[in-house]
Amino acid sequence: MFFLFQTNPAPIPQDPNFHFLALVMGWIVTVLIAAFAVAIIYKMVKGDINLMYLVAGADGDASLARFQFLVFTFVIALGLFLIILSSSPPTFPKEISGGILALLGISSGSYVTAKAVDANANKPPATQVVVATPPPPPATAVVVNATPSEQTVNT
Amino acid sequence: MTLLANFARYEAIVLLAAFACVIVYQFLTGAITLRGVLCEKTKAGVGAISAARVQLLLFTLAMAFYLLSQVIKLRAFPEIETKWLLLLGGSNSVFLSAKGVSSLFSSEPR
Repeated sequence: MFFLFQTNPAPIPQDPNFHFLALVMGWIVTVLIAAFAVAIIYKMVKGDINLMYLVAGADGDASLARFQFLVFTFVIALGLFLIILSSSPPTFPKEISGGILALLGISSGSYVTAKAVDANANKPPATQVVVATPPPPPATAVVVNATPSEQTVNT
Repeated sequence: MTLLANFARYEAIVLLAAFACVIVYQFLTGAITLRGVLCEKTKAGVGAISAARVQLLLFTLAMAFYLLSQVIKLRAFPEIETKWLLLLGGSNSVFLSAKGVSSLFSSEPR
């Protein structure tokens, strides 16, 4: 609670051990990410990760909306990487313009709408419920002029 | 620390290039299917080439190349003018309208 109201915190003293720890952590994370990426690329090349239907719809044919989404995602990701790596030291851009976000929004909105249209078109027709009419009740049979044992009334 | 930064920089470049190369190679060899990407879809299978799809593909590729060239030139994301966004939005609307109309009024929609 005290730290919440502290407006001017004391500066943290530079610790050489902390610098070493940061360096070790940086190397570990960098090598780990490289190992993951190499493993994924190896499996993609070998065919263990199947990319055949990367831009295909539910029917197995390629979808243009998915392809457009893939192209814009790749281009914007490549651009972001380029911008980060071109500054020294590498820094994340301070702001991403609204035009880029609109571009991503247009392509993702188009993808979602195309998916909805496909799902609606593939919907099977509604099943018809047939209600069977109940059979008519049996007619009443009255037997007259019979012996008491034969007199029956069927309902 | 400089060595680590340089290593991370080259690692990112190499890995991203490798990802892109694998995907482009699989597109070219047919390992990633592009069957019917420009064609109408019917229940009977892939139909004729659709003009709405062709124009959307052209606008998409044009916008992607423009964006990439601007990023390479400026080293920052460019300000995209509203008219270009409207153009791309209109292109997408034409594609979706054609898809919806085809789905609604075709004898065998997919």
